[in-house]
Order: sequence, then structure tokens, then C-alpha cells
Amino acid sequence: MSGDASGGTDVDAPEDSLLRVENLRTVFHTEREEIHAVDGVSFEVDEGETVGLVGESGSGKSVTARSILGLVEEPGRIEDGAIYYRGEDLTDDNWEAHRGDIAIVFQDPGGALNPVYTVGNQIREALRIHQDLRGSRARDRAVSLLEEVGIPDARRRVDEYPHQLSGGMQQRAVIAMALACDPDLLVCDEPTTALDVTIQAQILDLLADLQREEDLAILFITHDMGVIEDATDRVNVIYAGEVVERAPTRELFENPQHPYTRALLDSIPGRTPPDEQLPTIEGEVPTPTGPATDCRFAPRCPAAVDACRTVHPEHYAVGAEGTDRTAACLLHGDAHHHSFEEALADPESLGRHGRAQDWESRADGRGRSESRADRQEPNGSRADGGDRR
Amino acid sequence: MADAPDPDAADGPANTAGEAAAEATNATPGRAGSAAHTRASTVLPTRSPVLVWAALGVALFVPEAGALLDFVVGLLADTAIASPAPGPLASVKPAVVSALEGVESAVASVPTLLSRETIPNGGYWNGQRWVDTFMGLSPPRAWGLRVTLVYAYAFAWAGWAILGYRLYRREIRTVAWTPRDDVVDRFRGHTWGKFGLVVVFMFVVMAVFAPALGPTTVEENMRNSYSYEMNYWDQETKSVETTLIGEANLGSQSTGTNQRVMPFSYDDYGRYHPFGTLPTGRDLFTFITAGSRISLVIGLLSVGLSALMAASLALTSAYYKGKVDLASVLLSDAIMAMPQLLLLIMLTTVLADTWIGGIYSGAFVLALIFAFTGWTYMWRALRGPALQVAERQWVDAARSFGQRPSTVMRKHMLPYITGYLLIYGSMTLGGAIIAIAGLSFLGLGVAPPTPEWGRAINLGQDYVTTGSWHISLIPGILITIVVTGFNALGDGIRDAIDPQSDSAGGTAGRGGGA
Amino acid sequence: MSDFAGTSEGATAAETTRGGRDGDAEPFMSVRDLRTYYDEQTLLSRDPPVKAVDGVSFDVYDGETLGLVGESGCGKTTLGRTLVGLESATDGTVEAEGRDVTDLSGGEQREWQRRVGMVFQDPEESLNDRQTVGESIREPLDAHDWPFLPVAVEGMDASVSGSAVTSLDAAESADRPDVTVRVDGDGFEVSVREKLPLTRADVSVSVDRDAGTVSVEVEKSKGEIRRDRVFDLLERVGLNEEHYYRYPHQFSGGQRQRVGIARALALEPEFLVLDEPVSALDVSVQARIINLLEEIQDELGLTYLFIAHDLAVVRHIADRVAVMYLGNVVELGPAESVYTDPSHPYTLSLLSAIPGSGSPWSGERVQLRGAPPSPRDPPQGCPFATRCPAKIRPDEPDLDEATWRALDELRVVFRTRSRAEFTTLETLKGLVGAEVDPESVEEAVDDLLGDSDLPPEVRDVVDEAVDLATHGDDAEAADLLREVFGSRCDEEHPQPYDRGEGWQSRCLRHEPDHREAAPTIDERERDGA
Repeated sequence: MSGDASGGTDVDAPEDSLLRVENLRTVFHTEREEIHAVDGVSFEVDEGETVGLVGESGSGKSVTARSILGLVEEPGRIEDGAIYYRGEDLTDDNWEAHRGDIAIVFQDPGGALNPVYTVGNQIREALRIHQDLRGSRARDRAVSLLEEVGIPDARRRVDEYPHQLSGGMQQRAVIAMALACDPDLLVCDEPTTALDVTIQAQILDLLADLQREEDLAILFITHDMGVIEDATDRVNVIYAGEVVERAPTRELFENPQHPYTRALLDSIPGRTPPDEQLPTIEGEVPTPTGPATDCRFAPRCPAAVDACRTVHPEHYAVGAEGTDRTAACLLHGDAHHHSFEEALADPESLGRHGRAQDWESRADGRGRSESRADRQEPNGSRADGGDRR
Repeated sequence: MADAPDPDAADGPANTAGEAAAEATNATPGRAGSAAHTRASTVLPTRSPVLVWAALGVALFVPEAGALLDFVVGLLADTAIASPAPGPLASVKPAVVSALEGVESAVASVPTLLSRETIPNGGYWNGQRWVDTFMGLSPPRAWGLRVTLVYAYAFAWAGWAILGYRLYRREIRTVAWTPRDDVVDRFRGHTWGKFGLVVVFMFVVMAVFAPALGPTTVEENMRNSYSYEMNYWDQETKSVETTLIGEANLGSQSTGTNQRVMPFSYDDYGRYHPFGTLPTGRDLFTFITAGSRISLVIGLLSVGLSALMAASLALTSAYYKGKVDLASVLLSDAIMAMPQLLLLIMLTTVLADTWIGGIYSGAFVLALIFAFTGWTYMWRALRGPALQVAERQWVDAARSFGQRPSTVMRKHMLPYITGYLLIYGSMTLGGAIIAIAGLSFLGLGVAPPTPEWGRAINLGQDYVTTGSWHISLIPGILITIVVTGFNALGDGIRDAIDPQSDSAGGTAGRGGGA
Repeated sequence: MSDFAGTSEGATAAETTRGGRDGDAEPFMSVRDLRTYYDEQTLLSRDPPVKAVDGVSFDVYDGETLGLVGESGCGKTTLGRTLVGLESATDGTVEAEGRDVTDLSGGEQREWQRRVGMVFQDPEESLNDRQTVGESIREPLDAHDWPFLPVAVEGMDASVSGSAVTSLDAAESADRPDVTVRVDGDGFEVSVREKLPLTRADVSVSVDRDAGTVSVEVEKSKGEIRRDRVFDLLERVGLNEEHYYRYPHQFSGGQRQRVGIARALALEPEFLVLDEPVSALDVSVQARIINLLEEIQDELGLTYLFIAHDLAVVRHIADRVAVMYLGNVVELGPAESVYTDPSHPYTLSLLSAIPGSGSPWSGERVQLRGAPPSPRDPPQGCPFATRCPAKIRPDEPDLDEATWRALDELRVVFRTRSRAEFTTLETLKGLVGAEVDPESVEEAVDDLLGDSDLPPEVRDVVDEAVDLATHGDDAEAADLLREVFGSRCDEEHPQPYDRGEGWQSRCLRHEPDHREAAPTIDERERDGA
């Protein structure tokens, strides 16, 4: 539920973007603690574009997806912020009204498909609910949807059960189901993580084709930086429930401005020559249990200054004028305006608390103990609540 | 060399960045690792809770120590008597038996708190007051006092055990939380399961303390009633008379509406009968408590054996799969196809006169037959979970470094099916009790005159529509309650183990991460 | 139609190739024509077996990291498991230390399993969460009653006695004595192997020259030695001694994987099979574990078989890499060479499919159609023939690549239908000779070939196949298409062709009269296939 009125007036809600998430806050209240899974996330998706949301496990990206679709259940609830779909705030219990406009594709196609119903049956169910199609018209539409997503011999396949299809085809079927509602926005939560790389390439291609043909907007959520680079136009990097950097994709990859983004890119094995040790990030992803009072990445950041521990950074504009890039890092704030290299080269000038780790030298592989949340859960959801795994 | 990792950093809740998190966790007692050992216990208000707890245990044990010794020695003696003595042992046997019996009588003289010697209720009215009852209380009050004490004692033990568990969990155990804690917590919140647990507990107490619970004893009242005498206040002569108990029984029969002794009433001889009397005049309550023992023993024995066989077979067939699995399926199907009732009748008849049939009046044979024909149900239930566990990666890991199959089954597979064992075991126990009662009702089960609930129902079946309806009804109700209790317990355990059932932490976790 | 007889004598390269980091003469392990089939026989049905590993040969050299990549279903995990003894090989040999480790008795297999450790993929599943981490790591030690404490005596012919020790000959690890007693002149010197958590002070030795006996007593109990070993291992993988007493759920995924690594190292193996050890971890944690693995390998001189589907990770850590497809190794060579200049069309497609700029491939992406065939029914010729972008095409008829591919797909459609489950009604119809689901066949054909302009003879064949399929003879329809439109690739199973320097690839295009795969694909892509 949107708790505050600041985003509530339609005058302020922009109608040009298809989806606008403003300061979303989703909190889980367990017996022991509160988990601020999504803590002030804002971004927007325009018609016909693909926006990425990238982060590791525990970052809050899946909860964001569920919040957008209204799938958050007790003990979690949306406590603040707004989700505007064409100007209407979904958090005012408006999800039902827009059910057919936003569709979601989950990570595990085997889990998203009901094993006791045929694929065609499930697509027809979606068609019946959202398009009011029945009988042979529904059947024909189901077949054409399967063809659209590239499943050969569609008329035969439409009567098959999910277990008779390979993983890639199952995911295509799930996409077909999502398309059955004729949505304007497709939210994809790790859609290719469970798939092989060649199948992944096919699915990404398919999504790009569909976007062109149907004028779909896509919100692409993943932890795979390579996929983000290929598949998205703009990207938001999310860490510990907050968006820490926003940029057009190519620029983010060419010149990341947030220390976390940099660290993440550097850890990718393909970016380090094989004979060198891979750079690593010390520490672990925190689970936010309260509102942010400082920069959540500061304990692990090689470029952190004293202020980082006491000030919660806002988004500052970075990069050239008009490129719509921001990063939530004090280095780019008014007080500093330094680049990384400057920050690292001259610690004293920034009052930097000596960090043992030097960014340039390759990290020793044996870092500190890691996060309990650093695991990619193959079944779409993290089983990480409080002090349990 | 890398810097040494922070030792507490791997701890569950305590390693989230930010002091707020650390404070929140320190507030929960015992969670912050080593800190707990230096502060006073929160479970017991003392600095050395373990000692206090142990002392409490001793204090509870002493009053009944004699009874325990008595039981143990008695068991040994009975086993010695009943067991066949092959060749060389035959000469030794009489000596052993007499030695044990000597010990038994010596031990019997040790006073225990909850016995009918300490709190007697079998006295008589001498015109002015009650003689030979506890502190001169009337028989029902003395009896009621003893029964209350027995149950209070039992619950005290239960409380002591729970206290010990809480102490262990909060303070002694180094780990803050294990997956098993979740199961326990879920059970604690499960009302129906707790009800089941209480009922089962009371039933077990009844069986364990049977001799102390009844207003009289099986020996006096049923088996050798003509060898004992009793005093009573004769209303007509207004004086204290003596008679054989057997005679008294003849005068206290419940046979219909005209002649009966109802529950919670005295008979003509001044004896108090909490559940009334049987058509033979014997006390129904004593009959019931004695019968509970046999039911429990047969139940436990048969279920225990079944569980052993079912678990072994399930684990083996899950580990080896393929042909072994196929063979066990065929075997269990074959056994399930056998008519259990006919087999029972045949075997009890055939084995009636052998030594094996003599153990516990045929209860042992019954238990064995139940076990050998009934394990298939449990095996079926365990096979699924066992096959699932066999697919888990840690089982593969153990096999990969050459761990022996038996060890793999014991350490890596068995713990994951014990939950199901408990569920199906408790439900099967309920079923066993019903089965025994049914058989005894038909006259096929435990041989008379050994008491058994089914037989009580049988004895009273002619009088159900008359004024002596209590004879069949009371054991019937009790059977229902006990079996329901077992089923409820099984339900509770199943819900506690089932990871799908709530647990706030779990649901939060589902969304709280990625 | 193929003119070649397609025999195995056509091999142009040796099966065993030399390679490896040090160019050792003898490989540590030699795998020859290994096959592992899963045969699920029930009383009633007799499905063809799943040919998970279907004739694989390669060598592994001491101290190297051999990467094994492939997509799901290619058999790499089964291969790893077969080497460790978790699966039994159906055929072929794996030679290590002079014997075939696929054909071992129980006791011998346990001994082999001491020498090879396995690290599993899922850190949350590979540890039993009912036991502490220390117990998990210790379990292999307990299972084998480690340490064996073989004693070597030098300078004297003596028999060894002592409660916990064994003499060197009798010991199973015949190469490394744990305690060495050097007798000379008047005295003797005792040394204890460094890696053992045992010091000189823990051992008391007495030498009786006249009787020719050496008695060795160890003061520390085996339990203590094992516990200390676990402490050592915990430190080695970056954890603490205190962690011994903790349960797996108290650790993060990366830490649990470290525990898994420690457990695999417990018995001092020489060879580690790592089955996707970092796939389930986040990128930043992955980096740490990879660094750890490399460190450990350097320090302990281990040999790794690194199985993964993430090509970038494998490139970073592997010296040589083997690419698997449908149970076959299609390419094997030095990592850098394979990644920069792949010989096999599958390797090329795989590399080109990696997204992002961190990908090792700088060329165009090659799209593969469809999914790999079922391992129950692998193609007769080259396993990659159904999807290969560089497939050799027959000279007649002259069609463009897009049409060829459409025909290939049509063949796959028929093949899949032949294996699919038909309803009873349809089966009956087929038996009787009536039409079975004609609509779907025609639509499928239309979908694939509708746009193409087929020459009449081709159209005739397609129609004939459609006819067969609509009467329920899908298998025959597929066979017909294969006969008419197939090529060498469908007939012959390629032998490994030598690319030099221990690099081999199984593709018919390596033969002199065919153009190599990479340029062929380039051209076809350019022509707008």
C-alpha cells in the first residue's frame, strides 16, 4: 500500500512512461526482524524499450518484480512508494484492473507450467481470462502463439504436456502464455538462468523479435551481466534493496561509475586474463533490516570515505549532460566530484579511512567470510529470511 | 596470506552489517554465542542450571526408585522363568531363577511413594471411621489421591524433561538454531497434536503405573481371588466381617439392571469401584489398567519391529534401486496379499502351547504376527521419502569418497525418514490397539484370564442395552480416545515436519532474498 | 547420397595425443572409448537406453586442469561421475596407475576413491545438514580409517611393529611414508611427513638392531589426528577452526562450497573432479572460489577435471578444454587455441552464443536451431548433424542454406513425432491405414517450407514424406528425407582429426577436400542463411 501521499496526485504522475516505479519500499516483517528487501527503488520503463535490473542474490530484484505484479504476500507488504502504470498507481489495489497489461515470465519454466494440464490448455486458460476467447478460436490462437514463439509443429505440440518439451521449449511456451494476455509490459525474472547458453541465445533473440513485432516493453531482471549487456537498452544496478546506478547499457559497461558496478564487472572471469587472479569483493551482501542511514556498500568499498558511513548517498548525475545517467555514490556528489582514480590515488585528500585493500592490485582469493545470500537459487526465490539459510 | 576471517562472521544473524542488527540479535537470550555462558541462566534462576536440573531429577527419582528396581528385577525373573533353557544352561536355570526371586522380594520391601502400601485405599468401615486407608480417608478419596499423585508425578517428570530440553537448547548447545528447532516450534503451536501427545502420555502412564492405579490388584481381585481375604462392614450385623475376595466378587456382579455396581459407587462389601464391576464381579478399573499394559506392549513391540523391518528394507531398496527395489516391491505385495486374520488365528492356535505362546499370555506371538504381516504398510509409506533422500547430493558425495553403504544409509538417509517413521508409527500404534481389542473381543487375542480392553467389551456385550451398559461402553470410549490421541499425535508430527506448513521465517525468506 | 563407405578406418589422427602442461610422457589417466548408458528396464517396457556417454577418449596429465564443457544433456556430469565410481561404465576403459578403474572390486574401488575427490555443484545440497561441518569433512577420514601411518625404515632391514602403524609395503599408499626412521651408526632419526598433523614429539620409536625390529608408537589418537586434519583443511579453504562445530545452514553458499572442497581434499587425493563447482554461486563469490581452487592446485600439485557449462570460467582456469555434445567429445585442445580459433562448428556456435562483451568470441553470433536430439536416439552419423551450421550438403539438388535447414528441421519434426506418444485412436488409425492427424503435419510443413521455392523433385519427395507421416509412419518419413537430402555427416561418425599440439576435433570438414567449418559458416551467414 502506498503510505505517503507524495506520489499520489495524478498531476505529478507522468503519463509518458509505461511503468514508473517511485521510491518503492517492500518490507518483510518476520518474528525476529524486519527485512527491507526493496528499500526506495525508483526506475521507469517506456514503451517498446527493454530495461534491465541487475543484481546479485539478496539484492531485492525478484521482490521488486513481484511487487510490480502485486504478488507480495504476508509477511511482506509494500509499505511505501508507488508503481505507476500509465499514470495509475497500482499500489492502490489496482492490480486486478491491469492484470492483462503486465505479464511475467519466471525463471523456472518447469515450475511455471502445471504438469497435469497440456500446454495448450494453459494457454487457452489465459486466453479465456484475458481475451475472452473460447473454443476453436482459442485453440487456433494458442497454436499461432506457439508458432510465434518458434515452436515447430505447433499444432501437435499444443496438446502435449510440459514434461514432453525440452527446457528451452518450455520457456517458449511460458512466453506464449504471457503473450496470450496481449500485454504491454513483459516482466522477465531470470528467464534464461536455468537454460543452456545456446538456448539462452535463442530465447533472447525471440524476446527481441517479439518486442519489435508486438511493441512490447520488457523489464529484464537477471544477475548475468553479459545478458544485460546484450539484451537491454538501459540498466539499473540494484544492491541491498536500492538502485545504485542507472545508465544506458553501453555506457554502463564502458564506463561504470559506481564502485559496486565496477567491482561486479571486474569479477567476471572473461574480463581477466587467465593467468591472473580474479579480483574479488571483500565482505558480503548485507540484508537490510532497517532504513538506510549510510551507504550500504561502504563496508566493502575500496573507495569509501568517512562520509560514506554516515550519509546515505542520493543519486547524482554523472556522465555527459543529457545522458540520463545517475549513480548513488558520494564520489559524484557536490561535495566531491572526484573520479575513482582520483579517489584511490590520493586518499588523504578525501579523508579516506585507510582500506587495506588496494583496488588496482588483484585481490587475494581468500576474502572475508561471504554473504549467506550469495547463491543463485535455481527455483526463482531465495529461501533466505533472517538468520536462517 | 589472507587476513583471518572474522570468527563470528559466519554466525547466523549476527553478521549482518550494521550495529542495529547485532543489537537485535543480542537481545534474544543465548543467541550471541559465547556471551551466554557467562551470564546467569534465563531458564532457571541460578548460575549453574545444569546442577539444579540434575538435582531435581534425582529428587524426582528417589521416591520411585524402589518401583523401578522392582520392575527391572521382575522382568529379569520372568524372562528367566519363561525362556527355554537349552542343555548346559538347564542346570543353571533354577539357581538363577531363585536368586532373582530372592532379589525381587528384597526389593519389594523398599518403600516407594506411589504404591498402594504407602497410600492404601482398600480399607473397611468399622462403624466409626475407615480403617486401613490412607490417613483414614474414605476409599474413593484415598484412591483419588493416589491416582492424582501418580499423574502429577508423571507430569512432573515430563516437565523436568521439557525444562532440560529448554536448558539445553537455550544455553548449553553451541549452535543457535538447527532445522529440528523449527519442527519442535511448529509442534508447540499445534493444538491438536498437543492434545494427542497428552492423551498418549496419559495412556502410557496408565500402562506403566498400572499396579498403582487400580483400586485393587489383578492378583487379589481376579487371578487368585479365593486365596485372599478381606474385611468389610456388614450393614446387617453392624460389625466387621471377613470374607474371601472371590465370594465378595460373586456378590458384586453387574448383570443387567437389577444387579449391578455402577461406576463411582460402592458395592455391598464396602469396596469402591471407579468404573463399576464386570459381570463376574471383578473391578473394571483394575481390569482396564492391566489391559492397557498389554495393549501398549503389543502395540510398541509390533510397531517397533515393523518399523525396523520397513525402514531397513526401504533404505536398502532406495540405496540400491533397480532389482533390489523390484524384489522388495514383490515381497511386500506378496505379504500384503496374505489374509492377516486367518494367519493370526492359525498361528495363535498352533503356537498356543509352546514356550513362545506362553510369553505374556500370547501377547508376544500376537505382536510378532502383527509385525511380520503389517510392516508392508509402513514400508510403502517410507519408500517414497527414502527414494527421495537417496537422490540427494550429499548421499552421492558420501558414495563418492567410498563410504560404506550401511553407513550411508544410517547417517545420511535415515535421519530424513525418521520423521515419517514417527508419523506412521504413531498412527499404526493406534491401529494395533484397535486390532488387538477387536481380536480379544472375538476371543482370538490374548488368552483369558489376562485382561484386555477388547475382552471387557466382549464381557459386557450382552448387557449393553441394560443397566450394566458401563461394562462395554467404558472400554469402548477409552479405546476411541486413545486411538484418536495417537492419530492426533501423528497429525501433529506430520504438520510439524512438513516444510510447507507455515513458519513465519520461511515465508519471509521466500521473498526476502533476491 | 553419400559416396563414401564411411568406415572407422578413415581416421586421420591418433586417438591418443600428447599434450598437457609439462608434455609428460605418461598421462595420469587415460580414458578409452568410455560408454555409460542408463538402462531403465522395468518388467514391462524396454525403452532404448540413454546413451549419456557414448564413446569418449582422452588423456589427463599430471598437474593440469582439463576443462569439460557442454550443455545440459551432453553427458559431462555422467562422465565425471563415472570416473569417480558413482556410475558404472557400460563399456570402455579408464586407465589410471596401471589398472582399469571402471572394473574394480569393492575394496579396490574404495581405494581408488581415496585418490580421487569430487566437488559437487550445489552447495546447499552437497552437505548433510544434520551434521556439523566438521563432521562432514571428517567423514571420509573416518570411513577409510585414516591415517594409515606407513612407516619406512632406511639403513636397516627391519620389520615394523606398533599399534597404529603399518609397514610401507603393506600400506596402500605405497609411495609416501608417513613416518621415516633412518638408522645409521649408533642412533636413528625419525621424521614425520610434513603434511600430517603429527609432530616428532608425538611419535616414540625404539629400534632393536639385533632382533631387526622397529617399534613405533603414536601418542596421539587417530581421532585427534583426524580432528587436527580437519582444522588444517578448514584453514586451507579460508575458514576457521571454530567452524568445525557449526551446521551448514549457518554458512553462506560460498562458504559451504569451501566446505565441500575441504571434504574432497580430506584424503589427500591426487585428482579432483569438480562438477560445476561455481555454477550456483554469484559472480563475486565465484571469483573467490576460483582463486581458491587455483591456489590449492598450485600448492598441492593436484590434477583437475573441471566440468562446467560456463565457458568464460573454464577458459580462465583450464589448461586444456574438451567440448562435449551428446555424449561425445567433439573437440579437445589447449584452452587458448580452442577459444580463439575453434575448429568444430559446435564449439564455434557455443562460443558465439555467450552474451556480453566479456565473451571470448568476437565474431557474429551463430544461431543454433532447436534442441539436441534425445540421448536415447542419437543420430547415426555425426551427433551434431541435425543442427550443424556447417553441415556438408550434397551437391544435388542445389538449394540455398535456408532451405537445407528447413528440410533438416522437417526431418527432426518427423523424428520427434515418431518417438512421441500417440493416442490409442491415432495408433489404431495408423494401423488401419487411415490418416493420422493430417492437419498438424501439413501445418508444420507449411510453417517450415511455406516460403521456399522448391524445385519440383524436392517438392515430390517432401510430399511423399508428408504422405507417410499422415499415415502414421513418421519414422519412415524421417528416413526418406535422410536418404534423399542427407550427406556424409548423416552417415559417418567423424574420427578425431589432429590439429597439431594435442588438439583434435571430430568434424568431417577437416578432411582435405572440404572447407573448414569457420569459413563455411561465415559464408553461409553472409549469404543470409
